[in-house]
Amino acid sequence: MKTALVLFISSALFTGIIGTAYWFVAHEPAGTMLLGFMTAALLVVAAYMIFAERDADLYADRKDATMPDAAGEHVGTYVTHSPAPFWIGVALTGVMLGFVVSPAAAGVGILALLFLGALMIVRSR
Amino acid sequence: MSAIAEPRVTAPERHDILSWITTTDHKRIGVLYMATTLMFMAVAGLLAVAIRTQLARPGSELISPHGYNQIFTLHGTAMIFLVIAPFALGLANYLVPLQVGAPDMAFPRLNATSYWMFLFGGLTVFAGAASNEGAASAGWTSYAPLSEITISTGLGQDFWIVGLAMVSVASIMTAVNFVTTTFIHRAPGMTMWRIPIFTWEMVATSLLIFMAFPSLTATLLLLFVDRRLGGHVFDPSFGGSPILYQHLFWFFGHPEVYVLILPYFGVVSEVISTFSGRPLFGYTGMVLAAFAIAGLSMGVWAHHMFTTGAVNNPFFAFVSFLIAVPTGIKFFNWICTMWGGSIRYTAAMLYAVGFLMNFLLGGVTGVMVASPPLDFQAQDSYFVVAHFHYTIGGGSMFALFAAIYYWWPKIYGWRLDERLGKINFWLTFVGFNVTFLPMFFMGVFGMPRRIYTYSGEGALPLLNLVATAGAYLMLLAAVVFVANIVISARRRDPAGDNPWHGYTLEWATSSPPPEHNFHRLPPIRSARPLFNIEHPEADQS
Repeated sequence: MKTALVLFISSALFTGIIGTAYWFVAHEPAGTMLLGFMTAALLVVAAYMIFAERDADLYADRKDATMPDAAGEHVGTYVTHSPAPFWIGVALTGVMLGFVVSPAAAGVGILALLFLGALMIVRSR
Repeated sequence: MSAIAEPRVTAPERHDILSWITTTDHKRIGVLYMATTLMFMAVAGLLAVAIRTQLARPGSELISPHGYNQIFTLHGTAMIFLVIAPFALGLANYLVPLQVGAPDMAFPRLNATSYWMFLFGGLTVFAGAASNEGAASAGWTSYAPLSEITISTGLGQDFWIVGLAMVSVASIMTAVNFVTTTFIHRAPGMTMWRIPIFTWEMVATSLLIFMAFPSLTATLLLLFVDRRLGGHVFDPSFGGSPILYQHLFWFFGHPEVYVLILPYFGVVSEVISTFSGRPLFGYTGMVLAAFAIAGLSMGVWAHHMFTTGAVNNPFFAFVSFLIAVPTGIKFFNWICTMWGGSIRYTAAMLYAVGFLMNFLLGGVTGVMVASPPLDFQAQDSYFVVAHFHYTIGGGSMFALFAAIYYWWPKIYGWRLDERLGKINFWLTFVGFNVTFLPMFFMGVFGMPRRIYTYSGEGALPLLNLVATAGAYLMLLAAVVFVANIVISARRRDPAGDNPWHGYTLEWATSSPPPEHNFHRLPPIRSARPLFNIEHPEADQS
């Protein structure tokens, strides 16, 4: 995680420096704001890593780790199929097309999304 | 080899159509992405042939001006948003978990949702062609006020906006998945400085998508507000600013160029290393160069706006020039990897070498147009068309085919025919250069881009005719590629698990891999774990 943290902090530092230099050179608000937002977004991720993941101990980060080191009782349960993504895609398309051709289609799409969301919450319990 | 417990799955592997629609397996989603993008590429390629046919001679009436505008808009949009970038996302979907030793992507359902949003978004863009005034016709950049409702009155532009908004959000979701998978789901011993170069390039690409694509989504939203909800954000007659549109668009648009190329830098690095029989020269330098390119690319957006007179040209020229440094490092490292190696000129390697030659020309002309005095001459001319196609067509597209020939045996378990592959390469290489090299001269002779006809005087008619002949040669190359797939599919020449003698982790599993990728993982002690198994006596540092 250390490398990932360095990556986000150095990226934020870089965009912060570029943004500051850009403001003083160009006095142009749109680009400065965009670079500022980007710096802030990178800092949010870096802050999450510092405060929420600081105790994370990944086997992947140990140079001499082996597979049995990381293997517990079982590796995990994986879902290989789910109908939800396809129907979410269909519903979202309905919503987006609804904004162009018919508000009714957007309404149906939004209802479908709400239904799918509720269904996924119920099934996850 | 160390044993690892086999993951439990909820159901046995299925192969019916429903199982493809409901799949959350990263490999199947990767295949769906790549197949979809190749379909879009076929359509966009045919549109390009239509463009070249129209321009084969001056004064042609084959296509109407409005039809021509729609065709080049759809061609550009499809190639950039629906082909080159998403193919890399599909390839990475397939490869990143395999290369880092993960059983799947971090968020499988989100991954599948991203694919369906991409597919439906792409179809929505094309669906605009069936609307009242046809498809969008304001170019792939859709500058305001050209794309405003007062000029582009048809629904096609709205289909374009909502379709691309879906593609944009889908790309951001996929980028989240790649970064999380790479950071969190690596196999034990696969430290960050041991992950393969392709995966590193995808991390850099994902960071770029994080930073740049929200700007695209916001721009599309604001344009939609202008068009359908009575806004005037970009409308100068009500105090809006078309320059703001260009700032917002290019803040996405230039990093997008590197989203289109960075994954393919990774492909070329892997292919050159394998077929030169040598480890990648300067692994650390290559990784740092990728991030330097990604970082710098966020500070160059307004070099597309030099001629507006509304941006600080020296600042953007300086940062643009700087990008040549890390790109040069990559070039030197590729050449040094090949230097002294026992090179095998397979179809994949030929495409990688073709990439180097074409991209060099694209890159050098990129440095030229990064200079404001030269850019003022080349702006909106065919010189820029040639430059752009040499980077994305001659660069990314060549690497795309290198990737297909290289990883096809892993994905399907059988090889593509090498002889047909080489014919495919030479037709593409010659066709590409015959098409796009004359365009530099067309630009110098003053031919503006995005026009449906041109003057019959001077060298332009001959140059255009040559370019059109090259386009048909590339069409022939595409036919050979399809024939290769059909013939090879009938023959099904077994490839084995590691046909090219690769050393990264994806070659350690069967071809095609099992549902959760690895029954066993080898110990990972370097960036080339399979090399360590073959040569345990070698220094593993």
